[in-house]
Amino acid sequence: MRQPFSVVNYLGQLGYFAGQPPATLERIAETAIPKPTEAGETLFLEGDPCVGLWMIEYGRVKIYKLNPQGQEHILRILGDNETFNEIGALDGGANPANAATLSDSMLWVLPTQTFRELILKDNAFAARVIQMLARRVRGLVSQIEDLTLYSVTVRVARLLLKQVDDPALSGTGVTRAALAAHLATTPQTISTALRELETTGAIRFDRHHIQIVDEALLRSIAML
Amino acid sequence: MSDTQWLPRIDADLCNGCGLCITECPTEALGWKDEKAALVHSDKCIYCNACEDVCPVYAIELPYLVLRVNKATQEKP
Repeated sequence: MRQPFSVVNYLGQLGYFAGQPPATLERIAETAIPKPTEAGETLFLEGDPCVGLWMIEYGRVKIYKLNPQGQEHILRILGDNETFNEIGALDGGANPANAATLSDSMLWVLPTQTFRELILKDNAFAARVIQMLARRVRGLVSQIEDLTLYSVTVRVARLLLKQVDDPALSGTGVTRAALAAHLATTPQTISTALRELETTGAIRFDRHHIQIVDEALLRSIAML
Repeated sequence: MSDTQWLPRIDADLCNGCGLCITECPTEALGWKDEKAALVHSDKCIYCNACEDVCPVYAIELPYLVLRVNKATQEKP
């Protein structure tokens, strides 16, 4: 029988709060604000004041920027148990990007004040936040590398290899249009690149599945 | 996500009624509903992506899953 949902248990599963005693988790849980959302809802806009650290119990969220013409560039796609908007919660500044749900989601917000108090009081928590920020910087460097140095086919091959290992990066809400907005191209170009990859024998389409049938070949195309 | 949900999703608010997807659909799974494109024969859809590719306003979505397939297992008769 499925156990009733407990905010304390949920927080305990997140990397940030690992090892926190139950009493501390309960205090944190008391301040967490539930945010049930439907697919396609805007969570916050770039430039708005940051309300805190967002946590995904389940669902998919995109973090994106818009150019003056309204064209979207997706910076990250996130899934279950991931967190976002740490930057705004840390520096007290405005939200650095926009966020919206790609699927029906259950989200939580940990107010900025709670987040900052934890950093000041708990060295281990502060160290985990620093590690996360370092991972994000690595991720952004890798994203810049992909966008500036490699063709769309190489970028798609690289993304497929990430998607196969990260359940948040494919499935509900993740479409070729979302991929295109992430890889700075058009859905049509993504389709052409996928067909090219299929022709090489690295992948195969099976209805809604993209099957990686020759991973070594795909890695070689991805220049990895 | 159940198998029955793996179908093209058409956002009627975004659809401009141009009909390109209906023309391109190779199995006639798409048709008209209230002057907008709609999946009228879901059983005919082969998930080929033609509709998503031609839609000029990105009103059609076909989510997908990426899986690793064991080549050795696949090649067994």
